[in-house]
Amino acid sequence: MSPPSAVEVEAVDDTTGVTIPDPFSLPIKANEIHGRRRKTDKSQWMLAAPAYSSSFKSNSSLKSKPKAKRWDHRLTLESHSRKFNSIKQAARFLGKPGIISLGGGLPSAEYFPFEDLSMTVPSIGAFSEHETAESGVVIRAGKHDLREEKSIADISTLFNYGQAMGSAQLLRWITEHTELVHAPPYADWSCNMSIGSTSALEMAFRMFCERGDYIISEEYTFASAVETAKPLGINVVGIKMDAQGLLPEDLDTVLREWNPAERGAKKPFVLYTVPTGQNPTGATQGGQRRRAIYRVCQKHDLYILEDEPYYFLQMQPYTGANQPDVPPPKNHEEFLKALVPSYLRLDVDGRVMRMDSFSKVVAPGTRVGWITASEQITERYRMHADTSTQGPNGVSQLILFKLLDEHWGHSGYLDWLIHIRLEYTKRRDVILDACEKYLPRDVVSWQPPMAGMFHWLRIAYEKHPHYPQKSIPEIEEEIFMESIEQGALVMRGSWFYAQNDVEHDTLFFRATYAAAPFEQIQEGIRRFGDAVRISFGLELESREANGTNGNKA
Amino acid sequence: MSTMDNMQKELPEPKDLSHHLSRTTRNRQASSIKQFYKYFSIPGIGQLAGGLPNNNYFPFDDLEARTALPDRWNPTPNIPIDPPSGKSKDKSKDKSKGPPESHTVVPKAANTTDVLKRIDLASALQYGTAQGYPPLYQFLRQFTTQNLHPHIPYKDGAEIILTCGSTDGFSKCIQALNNEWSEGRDPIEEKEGLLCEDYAYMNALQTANPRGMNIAPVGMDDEGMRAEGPGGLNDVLSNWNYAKGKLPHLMYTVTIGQNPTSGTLSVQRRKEIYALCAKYDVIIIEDDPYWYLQYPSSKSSVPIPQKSSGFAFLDSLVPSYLSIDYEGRVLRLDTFSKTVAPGCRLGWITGQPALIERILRITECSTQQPSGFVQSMIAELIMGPAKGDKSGSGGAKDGHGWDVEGWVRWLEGLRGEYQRRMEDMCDILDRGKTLVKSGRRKSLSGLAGNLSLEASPAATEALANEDDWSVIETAKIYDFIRPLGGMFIWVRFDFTSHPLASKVLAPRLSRALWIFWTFPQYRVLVSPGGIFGASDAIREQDAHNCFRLCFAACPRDDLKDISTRFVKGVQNFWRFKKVSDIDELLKDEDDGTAAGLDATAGMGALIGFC
Repeated sequence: MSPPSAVEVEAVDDTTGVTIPDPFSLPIKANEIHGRRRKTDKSQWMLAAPAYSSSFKSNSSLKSKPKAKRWDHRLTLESHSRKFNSIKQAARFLGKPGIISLGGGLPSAEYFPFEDLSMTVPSIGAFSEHETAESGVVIRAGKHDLREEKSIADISTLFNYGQAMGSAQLLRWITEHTELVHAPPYADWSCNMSIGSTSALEMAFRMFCERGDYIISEEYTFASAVETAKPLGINVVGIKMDAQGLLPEDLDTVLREWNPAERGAKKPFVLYTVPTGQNPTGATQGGQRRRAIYRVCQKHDLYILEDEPYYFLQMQPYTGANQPDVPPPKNHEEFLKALVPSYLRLDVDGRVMRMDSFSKVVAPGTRVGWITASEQITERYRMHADTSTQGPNGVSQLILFKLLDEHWGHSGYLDWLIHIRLEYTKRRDVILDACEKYLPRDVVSWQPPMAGMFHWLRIAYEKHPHYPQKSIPEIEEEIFMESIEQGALVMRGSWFYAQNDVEHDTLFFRATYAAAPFEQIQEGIRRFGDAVRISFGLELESREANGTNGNKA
Repeated sequence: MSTMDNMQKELPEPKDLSHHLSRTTRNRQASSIKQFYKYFSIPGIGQLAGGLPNNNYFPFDDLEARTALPDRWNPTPNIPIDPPSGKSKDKSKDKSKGPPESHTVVPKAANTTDVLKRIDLASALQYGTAQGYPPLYQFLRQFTTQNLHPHIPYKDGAEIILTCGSTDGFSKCIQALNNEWSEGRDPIEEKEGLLCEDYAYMNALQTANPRGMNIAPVGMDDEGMRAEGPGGLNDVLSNWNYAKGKLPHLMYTVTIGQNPTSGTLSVQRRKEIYALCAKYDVIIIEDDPYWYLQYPSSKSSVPIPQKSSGFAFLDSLVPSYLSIDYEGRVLRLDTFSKTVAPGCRLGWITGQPALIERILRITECSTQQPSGFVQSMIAELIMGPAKGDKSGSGGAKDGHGWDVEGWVRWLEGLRGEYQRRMEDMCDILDRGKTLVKSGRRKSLSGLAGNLSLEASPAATEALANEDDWSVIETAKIYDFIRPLGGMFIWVRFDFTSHPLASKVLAPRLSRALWIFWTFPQYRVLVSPGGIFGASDAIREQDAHNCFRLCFAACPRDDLKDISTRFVKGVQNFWRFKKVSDIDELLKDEDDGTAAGLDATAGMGALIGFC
């Protein structure tokens, strides 16, 4: 079977009742965004000023689009009862010229022990660590840049208390970026910052799910998502997957045949999915697949939690070992067009809450991400954040604003994402080459990942000499321990079961190519290959291969 | 064997409080992937398992900051002396060449393998541990258990976990210890409750409300929460009305510079309240963002610590509930919001290890960890690089960290600054407390006609005598207690002293006064008491009499001027003699029926961050 193409360019004409905007006809281009910004009142950037995405969307985005569906019937009582604070009244007074507040308990910026903050970051186009050492740029944020009209963001403002939606400064950039990449097809979408997607997911569960409810996810899923749901009393029902991830037919079947009495729970209505470079399977749902799943969601009135940490780790198509690479995207349009459309882009109903994160494309330690959903949902989210996480930390917000808005701009950020795409492509190719070289093809099979950080290796357990005397979990255990014996650590597929109580007829291991140096990836796969061979009683072919290649490591 | 070891030996184990854990928290298990970690350390193992991104792709090569030296601000003395010497000029006043600074540098990669000393972006920007960034966690744990609370009277002492600020910390405590309750779904016997002061930090109560908790306010005095008397803790707990739900098992309290009343709870009172909490099995969540802002100039006695912290400044402060927590029923929230900057979203929780472990599990599945930029920057500022490592630079002049000494010195300096602000504002407020009517005859005559209900016949007669200048009527308009701690002055008005008291209800006068302060000649915003009232009864019956003034936030140079404007606004407001004047002030407010209340709630959101 030939590997599926990593670039999904879908025609738009096959939709039934779903209109998808053509990426080419995007209302804005990356390098035009700054020029299109609406003139703003200076007070917008002030200390703890509330900010809303709607102030930052382009005009075309607001025009002639339907509003999102309402989700009152899906929200929990806890979420409903979060009090909406009408800030309009108070804002009227805060806006009076010269007024000084003795009301708020904000500490004075005089007492922040930071005068300025600076960091060395890559200049556009010279993104590697090596290049940054040579041509990196120092960007600086002062304490009173806003007052001194040097910048719209500074330490005195962003290091103070902020609103749960995040600062206006960074929220503007995030909103513009979201519109540029996803152009949500309904009117009242909005973004709200999160302190990372794990936190956002936990809050979403609490917004939509009661104790005893089921949510739906892929049959192999992000372990931490299950661990977040479980203590809340939320069960997970896993849906079958293929190389493109979640199967819409199985989703429909499970929902159609849902028997509340038998399951002891009402029919689930929340779908949690990682559509791109799914963890752990590495599967990426193609555009057609997403549309099909979306239609099933419409049919059963599901709400979709789209968790997309790996969206921009979509890679170049895999061409095979020693084959010439596909040339990199020539420009931003080509890059954006090559991305699989997100659920947000397909979301005519406003039934998607998308979670974005800077963790994989900037750094996890920023602890800044954002959600995009209809205003009703982001408002509930905001109310919740007000009394728990609050907005993301101001230090990261200031640093990200300086880097993404002032230094790189949207255009430079897309260049950075292209850089990341090509870097991950290289890493992916290294692991695939090693797999072809070192793994016994008759018992280990795989699909070249199109996105993400993970390679999902399927073991033909039925060919194991001790099967079925030894069960699938026992064989998994045996290979895992043997792999450690050989000196390679991989993740066991069973760690990622959505439902532990359901018997599985598949056996997988997860390997990652995201972090290790190239030689270590190759050596690790070689050792894993040995472990599989030992477990299956196959000859250790790769020993000789190691003899010739060993010098490299 | 030293006496200290002997002392340790005799301490009781912290009480097992697991019966208070919520269902969700009891169910939590260590992340299954964590079981994998033991394999990570096998030497030479080919790591293809973990899911971390490669730190080569973090687009930051270093992080640098110009930072303050710990002695930037002048401290005030620890023991009250007369007159207060706090008014001396400090270094910051020399505006010509700014105060001396240090240069704090967090490198991309530090030259040390010691995980407790390694402060760099490669580690800080990566996924980390939920407990906190190892070097910073280590520093704070040591500071907390050795300096801040040198004596915690249970075996082996307390544990800490870092949080994304105290709002996050409180939310996690509630998640750990409270079962959500829904009307119609759950029986009333299961409805849990939260004890708090009559006037409390609203944001905390808003964490509890949507979870279906009873809010159970406890009466207060100048110190803070009362143990005895009507409405005191004993009264609330022993006369609990079970028709409302379970006996509350959680208490939220701010014990130093209480928000909004600025009370500071004495050790004696703490012991009384703690004894009640032990008797009724209540867990105390002590939120103390202002603990280091205690003002000796307002204080009459200095507590004697059981065990020295090693610092005269820390020894002089009223200690935490932790210092008497022999059962391990105190969870204390600390924050960097008031000591460094709120935007850090960084704090920590201190408590008995078993409860902290549960909160760790909650953290793993929610916030994960505070910002890496923040954790590494603060670690570098205070701790500095490992010995001999030149790649980074700390907050001291010589490139070392501030160290504990510097950190305590910084806190002392901040206390000095806030104390001087407090004194300046209180001095001005003191002068405007009373209204002196030294009469112009015209208005007084008018007044006399209007005040037939209130004024005694003798007074009316006196006023009528236009030559009698010796009759000067004074009335106390408002009063306040000089704060012993915190950032606020709680001002209580007596609206019965207002000329229109008989014609306009006090809540309406209060609202009009608030609007009046926003007029161009005053331009002052203060927090109306209503946004802190813990119950409807308090909001309806008393809260309109109170306003909270924060002396912490406004520019230092404007402080006296603003305070004066506040007082002038009051004085002039007490000159209104026509009901129509009040109507005019409130004309924008009267368009909707409940606009006033809504606006008050909104105020909380906008200006009541802390």
